[in-house]
Amino acid sequence: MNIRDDLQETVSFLQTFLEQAELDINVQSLSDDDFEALVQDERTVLNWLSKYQYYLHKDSFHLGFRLVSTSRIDGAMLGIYACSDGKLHIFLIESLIRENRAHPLNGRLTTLVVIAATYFLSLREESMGAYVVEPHPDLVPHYERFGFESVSENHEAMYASYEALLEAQQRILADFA
Amino acid sequence: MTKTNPKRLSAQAIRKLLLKNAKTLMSDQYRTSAPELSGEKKKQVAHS
Repeated sequence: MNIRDDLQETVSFLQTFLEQAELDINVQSLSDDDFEALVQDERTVLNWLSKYQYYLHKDSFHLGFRLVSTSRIDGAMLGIYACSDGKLHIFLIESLIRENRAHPLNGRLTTLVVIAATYFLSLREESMGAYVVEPHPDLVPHYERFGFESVSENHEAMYASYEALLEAQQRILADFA
Repeated sequence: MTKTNPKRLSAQAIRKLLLKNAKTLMSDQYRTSAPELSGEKKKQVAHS
């Protein structure tokens, strides 16, 4: 199975996950129109244009989130999976509804990306873990809850092995059972 | 090259685990108030 098939399987799983949590959020892989919207949208603060080549890459891993009732994108992520070392490199995660606490995606996007990464890695027998590049400093403790650790003192990137991601999920299950 | 690790849980087992955690992970206990931004920011354009 190639990356594109695993990406679509991950999208399908994440939609089931959202339905299990009873959230009216739709997830899809990014379309060309979605990517252009992210580049053009004045609400975005991340440099989507500079990562366009990663969106086009054959091993690209990307997701877009929106309300079930609307077409406008409310959150997105972009990464690359490197088969050679089994690591998913997440370059961009951005919520566009950061100021709208009533939106069901608000405060949940990062967790959803971690869930997607965990499931995607489970589909790849050679997978080793996931990097997140340049997390917002205030998000570092949130990533740590899911098994990520900073790879440098200034938090330029965080990494979680596949085993650490699974241990975190098993711990959560035990704590809330 | 694909390596197979016999100790790994199957994707189906992971799917089951994650779905069991869905309501917890999407509850307010796991909702962050931090800005959900990770990655390179756009360059600021200087106005003179």
